[in-house]
Parts: sequence; C-alpha cells; structure tokens
Amino acid sequence: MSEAKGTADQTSEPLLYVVDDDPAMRDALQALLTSVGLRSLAFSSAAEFLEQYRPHPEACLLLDIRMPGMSGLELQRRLIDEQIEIPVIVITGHGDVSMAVEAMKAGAVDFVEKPFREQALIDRVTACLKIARETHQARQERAALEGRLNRLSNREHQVLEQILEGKPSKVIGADLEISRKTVDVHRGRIMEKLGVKNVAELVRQVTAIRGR
Amino acid sequence: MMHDYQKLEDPDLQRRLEEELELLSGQDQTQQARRLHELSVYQIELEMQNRELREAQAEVEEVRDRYVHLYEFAPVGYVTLDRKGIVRQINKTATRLLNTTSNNMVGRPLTLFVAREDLKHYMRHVEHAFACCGHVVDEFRLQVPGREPVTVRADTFVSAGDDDECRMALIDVSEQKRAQATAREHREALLHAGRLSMLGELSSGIAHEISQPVGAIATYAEALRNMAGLEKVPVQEIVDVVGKIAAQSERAGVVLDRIRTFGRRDTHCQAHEDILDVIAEAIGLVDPALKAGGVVVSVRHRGTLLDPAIDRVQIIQVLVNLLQNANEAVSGVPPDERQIDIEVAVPDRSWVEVVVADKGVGIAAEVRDRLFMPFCTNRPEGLGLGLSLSSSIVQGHGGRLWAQDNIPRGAVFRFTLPVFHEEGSGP
Repeated sequence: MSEAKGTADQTSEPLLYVVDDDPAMRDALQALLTSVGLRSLAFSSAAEFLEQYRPHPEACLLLDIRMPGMSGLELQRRLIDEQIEIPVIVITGHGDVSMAVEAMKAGAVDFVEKPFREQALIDRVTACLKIARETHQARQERAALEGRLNRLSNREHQVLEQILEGKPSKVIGADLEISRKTVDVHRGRIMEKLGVKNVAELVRQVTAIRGR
Repeated sequence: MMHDYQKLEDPDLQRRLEEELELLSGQDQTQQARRLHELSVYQIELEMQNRELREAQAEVEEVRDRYVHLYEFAPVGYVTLDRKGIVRQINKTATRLLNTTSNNMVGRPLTLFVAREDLKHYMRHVEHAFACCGHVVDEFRLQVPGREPVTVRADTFVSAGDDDECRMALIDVSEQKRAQATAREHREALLHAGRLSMLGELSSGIAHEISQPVGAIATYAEALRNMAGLEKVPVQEIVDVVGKIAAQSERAGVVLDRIRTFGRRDTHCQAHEDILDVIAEAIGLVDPALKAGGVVVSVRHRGTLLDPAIDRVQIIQVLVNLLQNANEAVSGVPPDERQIDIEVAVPDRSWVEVVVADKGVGIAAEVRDRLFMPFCTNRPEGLGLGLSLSSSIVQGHGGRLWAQDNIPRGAVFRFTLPVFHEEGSGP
C-alpha cells in the first residue's frame, strides 16, 4: 500500500471519512456519527478527500455516489488505482438500484439508501469499522511475516520453496545435494525464525501473503 | 237643363263645378258642345295622370316595403338612439336579441339591457360616438332577463348633419367569443401537458433534490434520538439540530413549491417580471439534470434590464425547454466544454432579448427545417413538442423565437419579449 500520502493518523480512535457535496447532508451525517461517539472528517468533493486523506488504522469512507465533478464511482476507481485500502460504504438515492450495483462491483463493502432507515447507517458503519480493523490487523501480520521471511538465509529460502512444494526432507536433501539431517536442521531454523509451530501453519501463512 | 254628375267630395271643387255648369247653361248649343269636348279631353288627361300617380305610389310602397324588410330582418340589430340614449327606432333582429318588442323598446333607454358591469363602458362608447361625430366600435355585454349574457360588437355612427341621434349596429359575437375561449383552453391544456411532460423528464433529478433535505432531516432526527438517550442531554446542541431540521424542511418546501407552480394548469396572468429571476427559476428546475451531466450554466446581462410583461410560468416553460435541449446537446462533448451561456440584452426600450447558447452537437441538418414544428425530435423519450410550444408561447407574447448556429460549434436560441403588452396580442 502507498504510504506516499503521509504518515498514518496517530490516534487509534475509529475515524469516518464523509464525502458528500451537499453541506446539509454532510453536517447531518457528522451530527449522527458524533451522537454515537464516532469521530468524523467531512469533505465536499472526491478531489478534496483524495488530497487530504491520511491512512488510518481504523477508518472507513461514507461516500455519496452522486456528486458533480468526480462522482463516487470515479473516486472508487481512483482508490483502487492509487492502492488506497479503505472500506467504502456508498450512499445512494432511494431506489437507485443500478448505482448501488455499480458501486458494489467497484468494490464497495456495502451501500445504504437515503433517507436511512433507523439504525441502518450506524449498523453498517459499525460493521465496516470491524472490517477496517481486521484488514489493518491482517496487514500488520503480513508485514511482520514479510519481515521475518527477510531474515532467512539463501539456503533456508531454497529449503522453504521445496517444503511449500510438499516434498519430504529426503527428496529435498537429494535435490539440494545435502544430507537429510541438514535439511531437518534448516527446517527447524525456518520454523523458529518465522515463529510457526508446524508445517501446516508455515504453508498457510506463507501462501496467504503470496496471495494464493 | 239637368246634368248627370256625381257630387264631388271637395266642396271647393263642387263650387267650381257648379259655376262651370252655370256658365254652360247661359251659352248657345255650339258653345256648349265645344266646352263639353274640352272638358272630356281634360278628363282623359286627368285619368292618365291619376294612373301614373297610382303606379308611382305603388312603386314607392314596394321600395318602402323592401327597405322595411331589409331593415327589420337584417342579420344585424339596428337601434337608433337620441342623445339621452332613448330608443327612437329598433329593428326586429335587435328586439329578438333583447327578447322584447319594438313597442316595448321605443321611448325607453337601451341601458335597461346592458349588463350592469359593462354599463360604464357602454355609456363611454355612446358618449364617444356623439363627441367625435363619427364611427366608433366596441364590445359589451347585454343582459336579457332569464337569459345568459350576450356579448355584442357595436358599430355606432353619428352623422355630422344629423347629430341629435346615433345609429347603432349590434352583432352577437358570443359564439365567436366562446370559440376563442375554447381555443384558448385547448392551447392552455396543451402547454400544461408540455410542462407535465417536462416534469416527467426532470423527475429523477427533482426527486434527488428533494431527497437531499429529506435525507438530512431523517439523519438529524436519528442523531437527536441518540443525543436524547445520553446521560447528560446537551440541550443547546439539541436546539441547534432542531433549527437545522427546520431549515432543511424549508429547503424541501422551496423545491416542492417550484414544481407545484410549474405543474399548475391555469397560468395566463401577465405581469411585469424580473427576467433574471425567471431565468433563475428555470435553471432551478433543470439544475439537478445539469449537475448530473456536469454542465455549467452562466447568466450574463448587458445594460439596464427592463421587466417584460409576461406570463411567468409560460416563459419558465420556454427556458426549461431550451435548457433541456442544450443539456442534451452538450452531453456528447468533452466534460470541460459542457457549458450553457445565457445572455439577456435590451436591444431597445421596447424589447428584452434572451439568448441561450451552447457548444454542443449543434442542430442536425435533417431537422433544421422542421425545428419548430410539432413532433420534431431526435430524442426517444421526447414528444417533440418542446420547441413548437415554446415558439407558440413566445409568439403569444408578441415576440419571436429563432435558432442559429454557434461558432465554431453548437446552437444558439434567441427569443424576444416585448416590454409592454400589446392589446390583443396576448395568449
């Protein structure tokens, strides 16, 4: 993910970004979020949001789909292009089904129709923040594992690749022209360095960060 | 001697006859015979003259009868009035119009049958005829008891040589008036249908415009509910939010009013209107559709503006139509060229000119000749009545609507509106 947008927001309090061209709608959304104790930042346009966005560990975006200038859908595309990972809840007009479908296809986590039914928005926001939190956690875990992988020696990397292909130590030893015992030593060092207890966990974690 | 003769009625002639006979009796036979012969000749001459006279009289009577017939049964009601407005003579057509008789009318004032609300108008008309000693024309209503009021056109004439009376010709124009009213009603219904069709096309945008304040209100209301559940209720904050809810409901009200006014059926009230205000109202109606396409509208004006006498709703209808067309035309060009320029000018003190220009796709060659004709459209959802109705509205105001090509691309629509409403040229 791009960190070029600046350093992450330091507070760990959840944060809602609100993008809506209508000042009243913006203000009402902020009032509602404040009333349930959620912090929010509001922007009048997609461009303004892109300019001022800072990564945050627990943030999501409430996005009005229908805006002059850059529309909600266009902003969603920009977020993907610029690899900005933030869960998006799209706000659509009542009965604007085709817009909602488009938004979901473009990667929105959820959509909510305006005017909101009781609690509908807050429930979705809560769910969305949970996703943000989990995504953030997974991202941190992945970063940690990547860091640990970097500590492996060249030989250990070679052994790891063979393990991932499912080969037993005997075959690995034959392939790399080393003894089976030496392979087992490498295997032990790899598991120790990566902090995993068994081969199953090793395979799961490494394939997870490789996106398979 | 005894003479056989009829006694004459006229005593004077009888006396002269007797003198003549006296004279004859004293003369000799030859003289008497000659005298008798002379008298016979006279008698023949007299009889001939008598016959000619009778013939002439018959002819006069025939002419008079023909004139009376023409006068009495003319398709036009004739009334002769003296300076006090008392009927001197009235023909049958006029008495039929008034459901009365000649005997009943002669010697009585015509005002008995003039509709009360037109009385002053009628009096002025007659006074004017006597004052100018010539021919004046006007319309007023007659009210015959037990009947519907009748609108008549009156041609009133006072001749210079005979200025103690006026002759008035009355034509019942009620039917014509009714036909005009019906035509006007049909036209209004058509214009109304045109406006409803426009509202249909604009409805999704308008719905969005109403859903904004309604959505804000619902959201504020939910925030209020949450705030009320807090342990320490922030009263001032609640009051603030309530104020915001009120403002948003007013905002929704403005949009609804605009639609209600535009969708109204009866308009036809002409007043001097601020043309910039009328333009702003039209833009307000099309605004959501313009915003959706990222179209920017600019309004400029040159010189001091005058307020034209217009039917506000109808001119908004023209502007909405032109804006919709322009919006459609620019939807096919790159986003940064999606611009509509409205300019208002006052070419002279009697006209206001409104120009709506775009840099869109322009007027297609195949529709150019039929642009202002009904059912000319290149939009699948359009009825093709927009420009024909707009043109008819502008003409109804005494103005003109026409189209030109924009340079280097696009279309320019211009229309003029008279600052002062001309009598009879109104819609």
